[in-house]
Amino acid sequence: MTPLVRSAFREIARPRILSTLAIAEAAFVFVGASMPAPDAASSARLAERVGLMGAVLLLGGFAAASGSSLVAEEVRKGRAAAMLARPVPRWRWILARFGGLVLALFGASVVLGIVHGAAMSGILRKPEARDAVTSRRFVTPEASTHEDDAPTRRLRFRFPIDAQEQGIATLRGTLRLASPAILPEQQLPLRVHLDDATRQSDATVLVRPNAPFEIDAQCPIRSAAFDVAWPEGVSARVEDSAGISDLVLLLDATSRGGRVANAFALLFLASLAVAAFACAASALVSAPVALAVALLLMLLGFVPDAIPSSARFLTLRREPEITQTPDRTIREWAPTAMERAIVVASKPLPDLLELWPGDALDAGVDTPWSEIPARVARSWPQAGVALLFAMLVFSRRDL
Amino acid sequence: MVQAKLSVRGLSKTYRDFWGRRRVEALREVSFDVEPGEIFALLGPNGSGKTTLLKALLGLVRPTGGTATIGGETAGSIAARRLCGYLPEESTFPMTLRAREAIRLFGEVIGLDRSASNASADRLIDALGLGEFAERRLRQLSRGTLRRVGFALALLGDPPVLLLDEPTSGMDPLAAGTVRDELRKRATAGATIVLSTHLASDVEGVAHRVLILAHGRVLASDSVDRLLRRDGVTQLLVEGLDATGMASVASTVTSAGGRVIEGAPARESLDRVFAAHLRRETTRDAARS
Repeated sequence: MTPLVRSAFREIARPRILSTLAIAEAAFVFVGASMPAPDAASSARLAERVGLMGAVLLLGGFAAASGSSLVAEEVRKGRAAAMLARPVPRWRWILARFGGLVLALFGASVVLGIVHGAAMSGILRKPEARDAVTSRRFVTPEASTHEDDAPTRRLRFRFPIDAQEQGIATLRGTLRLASPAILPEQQLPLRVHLDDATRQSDATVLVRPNAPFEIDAQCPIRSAAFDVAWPEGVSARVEDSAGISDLVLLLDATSRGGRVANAFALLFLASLAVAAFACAASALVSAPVALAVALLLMLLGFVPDAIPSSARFLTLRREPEITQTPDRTIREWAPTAMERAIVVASKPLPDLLELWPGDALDAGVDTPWSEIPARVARSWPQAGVALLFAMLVFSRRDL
Repeated sequence: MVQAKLSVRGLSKTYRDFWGRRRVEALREVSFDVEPGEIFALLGPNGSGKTTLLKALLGLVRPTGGTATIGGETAGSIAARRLCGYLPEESTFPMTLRAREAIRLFGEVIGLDRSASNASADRLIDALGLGEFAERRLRQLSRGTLRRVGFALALLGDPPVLLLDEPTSGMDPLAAGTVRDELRKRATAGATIVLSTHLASDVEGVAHRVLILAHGRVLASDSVDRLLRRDGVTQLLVEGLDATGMASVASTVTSAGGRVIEGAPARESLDRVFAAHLRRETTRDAARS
């Protein structure tokens, strides 16, 4: 299989194509940077966003175009017949070609990531721009609100964070306590609540007063909150909220490379899903039709939600009262066996579990571009099923 | 070399459209056998079903009726395909590859290890006169040269069965001659060779037996000698006689009860003259360099 993978890779990842993608990505970043913005910081952020949007389009387009010609064009030009006249099973041939495409997409993601990072580092020469994109500091009490919940001996700090902030954030803090009753070596439970775009998570870490602590968190983060609880039996007296004098949330300046890597890893996964759908379509229909299908899926960006949304829509239209039931079960939510089959087949289990008690109407309605890669990347199980189905049909097709 | 007999019984193929409606009957009850060491030609006009027949033997199209076996294995199975070398009608390859790389790649695909694949590539490049094109990208090669590369791919691994679709199409007479020589050599070594063509000269020059197809139906099937023979007519090639001498030969024939149908100076085929000129030019080039 290796020679087939290698030849497919060489065929798809041509230097001319990769360099075109790289130039286009750099152009996106610089177009973003040259768009009118109130200050250097906003301009840098705009460049980052436009660059990422460009990468979504370029990588998605590359995946769709390559995937849709992966099988159909080979059949049309007769190359498939030449190869499959050899003792090579058809499923293996498709898989090998798809393997070559996966490698090519990986290469393209790496190239685009490097170009994006390099272009951004050119823009981020100005310190204020760098601060805007690479780090944001929230220092109590100016940038946060806090509540002193005296009876339960808790202080709560909330940090409102821009939802568009991308990458890995590091929460760094130093808990400075004014109260002499807390011994320096004593550890206090610090409950951290992070609310990002996809999930909410809680963690409890033990921190020592006046010693720095660090917590890594996945972004984008909508808000972060800290609850500091005093241990039982400690006769601490918190005079006021200023007793905790310095708690800093820092979206780490050093992790920008990590954030870019994260973003492009996600784009790679998304492009894989697009490519798998395109490849599956290309084993069944002609290349232009397969390309149209892949582009449609990519542009709509709600591959994982499209089918359940339809099922939901059908269900809700027929029995609207179900939406009002908070503890609905799968049977209530998708009453017919067909609907349940559609939902189960089209949703990976973790998503399904997450979706069930959630608000059925919310998902899949609003799809801003920034969520497209995440949504498409989550659709790989469906893409895999599509690819398997295509291999099955292709193995019985006349060439 | 392993020997493999090819046997086809009542093979039919009907192409249908998306809705399952019958569109074209490409093959109708075709039957024949090809023994090892034999060159068997499928002769027919465009659209007669030659390519479909070869593809059906390789499992590239699914026959709607009949059976075919290659070396005792069901045609189209992996085991049967392992015995076959195939030259498709259109020589299309990954055009970014160089000729040598393409041959190596196909060698690895059919299961040769890297060193065996390299050795086969070198041998075939020499045998088919592809030396000067070996390091060029396929997209830079002429159609005829691409056909020769395709032919080299078909010969990889010395398969006991060769299925060749229009093997000399697009080739100059010299290259076509090289291909025919190679086919004769392989047949002598015991290979079973089926070639499809619409050029009668291909059949006359190389095939032992021929099957004439039209609209998927077998019109005739026999040895080339028997098909070309004109019963009761004898051809006599005479050298060194002037017109008077020829007149006396004619009168002898007439007095013996025969009839001279035609008497004219013997002519070479243009193909042979062309090939001879090319060969001379090539020899001169080699001497100059």
